[in-house]
Order: sequence, then structure tokens, then C-alpha cells
Amino acid sequence: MGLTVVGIGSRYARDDAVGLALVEALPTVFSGCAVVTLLWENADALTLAHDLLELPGPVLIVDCADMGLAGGAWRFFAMQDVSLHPHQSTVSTHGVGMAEALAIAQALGFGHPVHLFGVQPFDLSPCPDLTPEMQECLPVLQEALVAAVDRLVRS
Amino acid sequence: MKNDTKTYNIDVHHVTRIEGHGNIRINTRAGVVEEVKLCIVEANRFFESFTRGMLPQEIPWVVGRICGICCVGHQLAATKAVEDSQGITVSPQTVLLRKMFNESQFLQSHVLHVYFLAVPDFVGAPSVLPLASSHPEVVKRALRLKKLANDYTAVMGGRVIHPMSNTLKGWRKLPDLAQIEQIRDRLLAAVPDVLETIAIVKTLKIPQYERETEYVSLKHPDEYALYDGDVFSSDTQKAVPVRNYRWVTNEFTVPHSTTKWSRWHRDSYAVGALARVNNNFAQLRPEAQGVAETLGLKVPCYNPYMNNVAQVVEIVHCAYNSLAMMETVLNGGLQAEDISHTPVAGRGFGAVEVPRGILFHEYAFDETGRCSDANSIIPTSQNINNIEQDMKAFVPQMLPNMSKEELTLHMEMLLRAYDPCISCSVHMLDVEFTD
Repeated sequence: MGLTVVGIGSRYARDDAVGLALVEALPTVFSGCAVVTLLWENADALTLAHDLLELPGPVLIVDCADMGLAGGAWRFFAMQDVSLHPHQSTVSTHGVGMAEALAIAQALGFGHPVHLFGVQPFDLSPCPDLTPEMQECLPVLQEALVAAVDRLVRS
Repeated sequence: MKNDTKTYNIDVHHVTRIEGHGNIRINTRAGVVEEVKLCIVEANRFFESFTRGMLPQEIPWVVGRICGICCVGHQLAATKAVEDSQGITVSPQTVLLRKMFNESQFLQSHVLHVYFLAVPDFVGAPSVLPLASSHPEVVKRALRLKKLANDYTAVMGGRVIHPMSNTLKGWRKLPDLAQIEQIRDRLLAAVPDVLETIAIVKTLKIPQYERETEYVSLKHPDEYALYDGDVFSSDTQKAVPVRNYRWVTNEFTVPHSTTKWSRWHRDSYAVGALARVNNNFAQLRPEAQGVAETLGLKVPCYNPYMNNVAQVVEIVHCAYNSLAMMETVLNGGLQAEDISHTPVAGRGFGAVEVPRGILFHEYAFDETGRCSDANSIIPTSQNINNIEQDMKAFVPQMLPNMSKEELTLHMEMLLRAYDPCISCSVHMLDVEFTD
């Protein structure tokens, strides 16, 4: 099955929307192959778990991520290459995050490869626009994302 | 084990992931209970202060941010209070849409609580994660129901979290009829999932514990009160108008809690699903009454652990009631309404039931139409006192027959049964015993 690229975030928390902005601007054909793009806005993690189960094949998640890097820096990696720690004892109404969503989906049979294109935010305060710094980074980030998608499509 | 050997110091420290923190402290010495406290140490959030100076139209959207789970309820309670202050009367269409909006939130929240917080306790799982491996169909069903309820909220309010369509006098953008029809069809198709939920809950072993309690909820002469009504006490069998809500809450402070506590006719009272079912059983949908019987919920029920069962009863009520309301909307259509408004001076009061109990809002506006005073009392602050009273009664009753581990688990389950905002954090407790 073809690749699905999912932008995740909220448009009301500054750079949290960077995944949405990047996927919105992404071409949908790479090396002659169609790529499905989806935007999951303001979704709680349990909805993410549900929606992951609906995906038919490999997925690339584009999201803002706290990776301890400088603002605007990005990383592209397979989920299997990193250690996400779903907190077995902390799953709760307010406490379900991406790691838990993935863990729930995988426990329920979601077995497709998952990659993440993560972007370090500058600011996540409540505001509808990306920070000016992040907006300056968008062309570079877009280029990097296109290269990442192209690599996945060819692999 | 002989009772007089039981010396426990149980310190459940930082019941976190709330807007603040809470701890459970239990000390027993030689079988005698010396201390049982539910300590709430959460910080003030100053939402009431934020609203000062705001225009009436702005307030519901701002205070909706008090909670991500009950954002619909905060928005509706604030909308009603502001409309009361401004002398606004809304149309039957707007009331109907708001009731649907509110019930979508009940479905979301109750499914979340029953499946993801309560059920793991009863099947011996520490959280939903191992449950996903051991009971995948249960978790898949929960995710489907949660997704459906989320989409219902989004159709009514424009988005799932902190929706923006509802406003003073009506709807900024009316819900799309085709989308309501889709939600109706999905809700009908979800009946098997709801029935399976009942089957699962029927297998759960609910702890047997009772303490006669004053139950407080909205009450309405014509319907199961979730959106409107007066404030009713099970003790007096009488109701007072919402504008007199301070007679009900009688807030006071205790040294071990930064949350104000409440009491009415007794030392404490309870709000929430069990209170509503106890007070308004006759007005539940027949399907929900049948489920209550199936699950052994007979009113009056004084077992706080049965609040989880009451939530399932309300899931069924809201599902069938929503289907009926959707039919009304689909048959009658929706008309755009004038939502323009010029602010005036005044004071108003509003209340709705939210999943965890009654939510009160009050606002005053000065001659310039700006907010000059605000107050909000949430269900959790009304329940905290009652939870501690339950713990104080439970521990001496159960101490002779329970180990420290069992006692701790049952205290956590008791807290979770109330589904307070702090319940979401109880799963991440570090439990410390010092003998």
C-alpha cells in the first residue's frame, strides 16, 4: 500500500501547527506514486489511536516534537529506531500522548511502519500563527520533508 | 490478620494531571483509624479574573478553556449565565441544538471514563495499554465510541475541543444537516457497541459499600435534566432556582485543600451521574431505565462505586435521546437566527449538568457592558468533600478485612468512581507505605 503522510497539530498553539502547515503544502505525487495526505487537527490521542488503525499502509507523521534541539531543527526517523516511553501507569483522561496512542494502536494490531518527521518548536503559546522564526524555516523544512517522503516512496 | 495489628501509613502523593495536585493520606495505628484525608493542593487558575473587562459575547469562549474535557459544559453554563444577565431569551431551536451539543460531551466523557479509567481497575490491568493486548475488542469498541462522540461534538460545535459555533442567542454557524444525518446513522449503527458495553459492565465486580448521601442535581419537570432545571436535593426532595446556587454550595475552606469545599443539608453532598440517576430516574429514557435494571442499579443507590454504572446508564440515555433530537432537527430543518447583541448592565446565573455534576456560572456586567464580576463552581469542588467523607467511612469498615494494597486500590477506585478531574491522574500514583 502507498504511503500516508499525516500532519498533526493545533492551529491555536503557535508552532504546534508546523506539521499541518508542512503537509498542507506537500505535493501528492512522488516519483510517479500517489501519496495520501491527511491533517489531524486538535485530535486527542485516543482519536489518533483510532485513526491509525484505519490506515492501510505505512505512515509518516509530521509533527512538532520536543527533541531538545534548537528551534526549527528537524529529525526524520523510524519509530522503531527511537525509544518512546508510554507510561503504563499514567494513561488517563488528560494524560494520553502520541506515545500512548501509538502503543495502543500497535497493541490492537496496527503493524505498518511508522516514521516521524519531527520539528522542534520555538514557541507553543496560545496563538493562531506560527512564530516568525518558524515561518522563516518553512522553506528548508519543506525541502527536507519532500526529500524524506521521496526516500520512503522509493524504498 | 487481627485488626489490632494493622498500622498503616498510606501516602498517595501527588494525585497529578489535574489543574493542580491532590494526595490521599491514611494513617491507622493498631487497627484504629487516626487520619483519612484527601488533600487538594492545586493552584488557583484565575479564570474568573480573566473575564473581568470582557464583553458578554467573549466570555463563553474564554471560560470554555477551563477544561478540555468539559469545554462544552463550561461554554454552555457561561452562555446561559451571560444571556440571563443580558435579558436574552433563546429560541426552541437553539435550546434543542444546545441539548444535543451537551449530550455529545456526555457521550465523549462517559465513554472515556468508563473504558479508559474504570474498566482497567476491574479487570486487574494497570491501565488501558495492557488491556489493549488482553482485551483488544473492548478497547477497539471504546475507540469507536469515543471517535463517534467526538465527531458528534465537532458537527454541533465546529470542532471537538473548545468548539466555537455556539454563542449568545444562537449559533454562529448552524450545524450541517447532512452531517447530523451521518452522525445519526453512525449512532444507530453503534447500538451493538453500546450493548456490548453493558455486557462488559455487567461482569464487573463492584465493591459493596454504602453510605447514605445527599445527592444534588438539576431537576426539570419535563425531562431528564442535563441542560436546564432547578437545583434539587435528595434530602429535602425540593429544588431551589439556579440563581440561589450559593445556598447550595455554601463554600468553605479546610487547611488541607486549596479547593473550596461545599456542603448543603449535611456535612457534604454528591453530584454527578449517580446523583442524577437517583434524583431523576423516572425521566430517563426507557432504554436507559432497562439498562439500570440489568446492571443492578436500583434507586436510591448509596454506593459511590455505582457511579460508573450510572455513567453507562447515561450513555444509553444520551444515545437514544440524541437520536430523537436528531430526528426532530432533520424533520424540521434549521433556520438562521439573528445573533446580534448590544451589551447592557446586569447580573446573570447559569447552570448545566456536565458529566461530573452540576456546573454553576455567574457573571455581572457594568454600565459599559463589560464584565465586572464572575464566579464558577465546578462539580469536582462540590464532590471533593463527599469523597473524603466516603473515604472516612470506608476505611474503618474495610480495615479488618483488607491488606494495605487492597485498601489503597479501593481508595483509588473510589476516587476514580466519582470521575473528578483529579481521577485522571490517580493511575500515575506513587504509593508509599511506611510501617
